[in-house]
Formats: sequence, structure tokens, C-alpha cells
Amino acid sequence: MSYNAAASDRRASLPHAQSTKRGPVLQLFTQRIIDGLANGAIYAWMALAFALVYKCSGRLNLAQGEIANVGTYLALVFATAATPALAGTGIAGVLVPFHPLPVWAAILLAMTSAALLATAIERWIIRRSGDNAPVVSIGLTIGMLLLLNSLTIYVWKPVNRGFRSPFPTDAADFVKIGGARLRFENIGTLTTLLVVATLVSVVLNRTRFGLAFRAVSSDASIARLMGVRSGRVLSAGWAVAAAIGTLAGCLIANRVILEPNMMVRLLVFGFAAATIGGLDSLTGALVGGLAVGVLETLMIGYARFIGADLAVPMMLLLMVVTLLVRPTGLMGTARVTRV
Amino acid sequence: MTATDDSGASLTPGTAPAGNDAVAHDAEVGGQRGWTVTRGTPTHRLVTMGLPVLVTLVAIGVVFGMPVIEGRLVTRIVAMTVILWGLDVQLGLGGQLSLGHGAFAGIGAYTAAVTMGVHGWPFPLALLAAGLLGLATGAVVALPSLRIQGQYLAMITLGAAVAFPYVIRRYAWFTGGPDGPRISYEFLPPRWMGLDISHYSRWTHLIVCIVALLCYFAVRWIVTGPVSRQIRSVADNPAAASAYGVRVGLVRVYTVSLSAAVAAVGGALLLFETPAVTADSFAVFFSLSLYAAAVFGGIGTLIGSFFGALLLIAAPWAVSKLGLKMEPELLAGVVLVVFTLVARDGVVGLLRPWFRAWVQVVDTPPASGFSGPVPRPRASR
Repeated sequence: MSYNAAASDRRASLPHAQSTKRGPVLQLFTQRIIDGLANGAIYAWMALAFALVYKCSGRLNLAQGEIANVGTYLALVFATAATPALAGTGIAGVLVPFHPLPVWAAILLAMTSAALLATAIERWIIRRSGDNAPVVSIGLTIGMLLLLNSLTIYVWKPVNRGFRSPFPTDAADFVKIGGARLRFENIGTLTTLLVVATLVSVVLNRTRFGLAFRAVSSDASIARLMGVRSGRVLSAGWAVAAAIGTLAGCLIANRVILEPNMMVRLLVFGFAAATIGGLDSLTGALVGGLAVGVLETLMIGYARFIGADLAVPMMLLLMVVTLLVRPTGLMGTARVTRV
Repeated sequence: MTATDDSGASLTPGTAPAGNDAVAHDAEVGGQRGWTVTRGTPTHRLVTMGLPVLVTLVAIGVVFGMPVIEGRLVTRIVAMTVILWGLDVQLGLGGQLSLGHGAFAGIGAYTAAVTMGVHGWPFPLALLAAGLLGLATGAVVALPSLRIQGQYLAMITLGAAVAFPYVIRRYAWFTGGPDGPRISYEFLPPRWMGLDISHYSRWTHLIVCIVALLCYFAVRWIVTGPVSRQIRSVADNPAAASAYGVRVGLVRVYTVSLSAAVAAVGGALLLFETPAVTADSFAVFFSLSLYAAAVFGGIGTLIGSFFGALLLIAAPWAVSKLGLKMEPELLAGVVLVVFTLVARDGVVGLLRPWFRAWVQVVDTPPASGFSGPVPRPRASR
């Protein structure tokens, strides 16, 4: 997999390229915070996706990233004219008999498809194991991770692809705040984060489904006794998580490069965000994501000895420290188990 | 995932329905055919020690009669088996999840590459260095796992697997970077063996097999020796182990440590076979495939590691031989899902009934006149 190194080289440097310019100290700092928040929004979505699945099933979905990756590729297929971007894969002609959709529509359609895929995986593979041991679901989701990744490579080839942002990304598309550039793209990403967070919170707190979800996440067996169809809640949790993950993939894909292993690195940031926020807290996921994003840019920007390459190990260290000092994360609930 | 295995035989070197026994009682015991064999008798020892040696000799001999490409494949299988033994010490014996063992193998391969390739150390020293470095990194990595358990451990170890290539790249001045250092070391067979340079791959195979044999004895000592009882007691019930005076933290640390050391030696052996190393070949998908291979072979069994290695090396080769193009991870993924769903004890679990029909391993010979079924010993693996 030699294409890997080259791709991740670029990947490591790209999101922070704009923040390396010299400038007044405060301006640079503001710039880094802005860039960090924009990256953090992506991590927040990943963490949200983990948290949604963890909350309703008590299990980690390690295939989350790959499902999102497939979703992102689907968005690419829906949004691109058949020829240039997918040349050589032979799939565009088969899957896209229609005219390319506008980017937003393509992303929405891809989110729906990813949700269906996730539901199918949950219903036909994960639930079929009929076992409650975490190690079983870990094995299954790892298997799905490997499977989906190699299918992605098989279908879309290990090639770097461009992905158009749904927001304006011209060089001049920014507003200045204290000298720092707040790009439209970043505004768009953060606004979308707000919208998604509001939607999720409204659905969970104001709807029948939300009530069922909260019931299942607080105690699945009692919820089942009370007549909640916990299987459907589980499927829906997976579906929403996959849709959110896909959204994250689509919005990061134009900043890093879309390739079959794009999500592997993001997975770790998602883990870190979820751990710091508290694995079973949705608010925690948002806060954790933004915190991880800002920490990452600040760390890379101000601690030269760390550098972009050590961002992932540093996230790991952060997770370990969080787990040692405060195992429930910032906002997670402590679970008391009686032995 | 504690040591689920209750058969006596599964940890024996296996390969063949080895008659591990001494007192080959006749088949009437418990109305079953086959041999009932007694653990710990001299003959049992002779078989469990002698059989691996025999297997090694056969493996060496077979390769001398094979074309070079297939022969090197066998070498890779042997090296991969060693890596999987390392993983199995942690998964099967220690009962701790690890999705990041590829990184330990990578550390071993890079250590061998730097020591042998750059500094020109002789290969035994390079192996020793790989093992020691694995031991040390294992201990460091194990420290958080003293308190972090379960699914968090899955996240952390998966994260470590992702992080490994980045660390290699960051310290490229020392490691040689993602594409490894240039390796100038050559395995030349000694003159007295009558092999010339054209037997290069045979000579490395010989070395790899002998080292693997030594690793086998080491791992067998870990999983059956006195150390294993502590490790297993901690895996089964830490509170009880602690009450009996086992130092739980220490045991957890050295479990991971030993496991990492074995995996690192296996990684170094991979380097012997192909004297080039890239960080990407030890990246996250390698680690995850290792986990898949461990599940495929059967966690908690040493012979299972061999089947796992077949899955990782021989199966992709066979598929490509059939003219199909396929990512090796696809096979690993499918196998992991299928085996987790239907055959959680792996290939060894599937073969076990057949094996049991031929060989029964018991702790003590049944008393004479005893005609009921032989009670299965509990504490043995």
C-alpha cells in the first residue's frame, strides 16, 4: 500500500497550511483557534456518531469511519459528472444514469444511503451474533472495517480524488476577524455543526423516537419490558450515526484528500473527542470534538518538536491521560457496577 | 476473552494428532477410541518437545525442494506464526484485547533493519535487540492498560496501530523513515554448508525456522509454565488473584511485555525474509488482519497461529494464483465476521472434535477398573 504514505504526507500538512504564515502573535493565535474549531467540528461529528451508537447499544462501532468513507464516495459519485473524477472505475456509468446532483443534494442522498447501509449491517450482522459480550461486537465491527475498506479500494481504486466543498472556497472567500481569516468554508462547517446538534437534540428531547432512544440508553431491558421496540431504536441509532459520519466525511474530504484510507486517521481523532467528552454524552462529543480540534492546531503550531506527524500519537496520549485521570470524560456518566 | 480453552491437547505443538503420550492406555477408557495420554510423563514430554523439532526439520527440508518463490512464502508463514504467537499470549492467555500488535511487529522489523542494516550487527544480536525493545515498549504500552479495560482498550490499541507509521516518520533520522533504512546486511550461508549465494533464501529460511522453534519453546513455556498460572489467574479473576498474593499490575504488565517481545521477534524474522521494511506494511490494517487471523486460527491455541498465518500469507497467494484480484484485507474481514458469528473457536475449534476422537490428554491415569467417562481436567489448556 505504497500510495498510503504519499497521501498521508499531504494529509498531515494540508489542514494547517494556512496557519503557518508569520504574523502578529494574536492574529496567528486567532487563526489557529479558527482553524482548530473548523477541524474540531469534523471530530465532533465523528465523536457524536460513536456516542450515538454507544449510548443505545453500549458498544463501540469501530467500522464507523469506513461506513462514513463509503458514504463520502457515494456523495462523490452522486455529485460528479460521469467522466473525469471517476474515470477508470467504470462505476459512474452504472450507478449514475442521471445528471450529477448539486453537492448538497448529493451529500443528503449519500447520508441516506450510508444510513441504509449501517442499518443493514446492524440488523443482519451485528444483531445476528445474539451475544452481549463487547468482544463479539468489536470483532464484527473490525471485520466490517476491513471488509468495507477493501471493497472501497476495489470499487474506487486506491487513488487520491478531489471532492468539491459545498461551501464557496475561492481564495477571496473569507472575512477578517482581527487580521485572521475566517473562511466561508469554516463558517459553513461550524453552522452545519450547530444545525446538526440542534436537530439531534430536538429529535432526542421532543419526539416519540427520542423518548424511546433515551429509554433504551438508560436501561435497554427495562425499556423492552415497557414495550419499546429496542431493535428499531438500535437500527435508528446506527443509521443516524452513519449519516452524521458521512456528513463529516463530505465536509473534510475537500480539505484532506479523498482516498480509501481517509477515515482511518480521523477515527483516532473521533475516539479522542469521544473519550474526552465522555463516551455516552452527546454534548460531551461536541465539546470534546471542538476541544480536540483546537488542541491539535495549537499543539502543532506552538510546539515545534511535536509537529504534524505526532498529532495522532499525541491524541492517543491525551486519551490515555483522560482515561487515567477522569475515566468518564468531561461529561460522561459514571456507571456503578456491582461485582 | 479469557482462556476459553479447556482441552488438554490444543496447546501441544499440534500439527499432527500427536500421540502425546506415555502410557498409551487402550482405547476402552470411556468407551472412546484413540489414545488416552497422561500429561507430565516422560514420553509426553518427549513428544511435546520432539514433535516441534520434527516439524521444524520437515519445514526446512520441504523448502529445499521447493521453487524459490513458494519457499519464501513458507518462510513468511513461519515468521507470521511467530507474530501470532505473540498476539496469542495477550489475547488467549492474558485475556486482554489488542488490535495493535502489528506495531510491535513493526518495531521488531525496524529494530532489525537499523541494527543489522545500518550498524552491521550480526543477526542473533539484532534478534535479541528486537526482543528486548519489544519487551520494553510492551511494558510502557501496558501501563495505561492497568486501569483501562474493555472497549477503551480497543480504542487505544487501534489508535496505537494508526499512530505507528507517524512515529516512524517523525523520527526518520533514526528509523530511516516510512520506507526504512537501506539495508546492506546479507545473509550468506557459511562455506562449510556447501551452499552458495544462490541459496540465499534457503539459508534465511533455515535461520527463521530455527529461531521460530526457539520462540515456540519460549511461548510454550509462557503459556504452560509457572508464569502462566499467574497470568491466567489475573485474567480469570483479578480480585481473587490479588487475594492469593499475585501482584495483578505487575502480571498484566509482563503479559503485554512478553507478548510484545515475541511479536517483535516475529517482525524481525519477516525482515530476514524480505530485507526491506516500510511503515505502511505494519500499519493499522496489518494489525487488524492479525486480530482476524488470531480469531480465525482459534484464540488460546498455539497451533491456531499457524492457521492464522496461512490465512494471512497463503490464502492471498492462492487467490492470486487462481487469477483473482483481491485485497488481502477483504478475506481477513470476511473471515473475521464469519468466524465471529458461527465458529468463535476458530479452525482449531472446528478440528477439535476430530482430534479428541483420537487423543485424550488427561492429568493422571484413570484408576484401574474405572469405567466411566474420563473427567476432563479443568485447569489445563
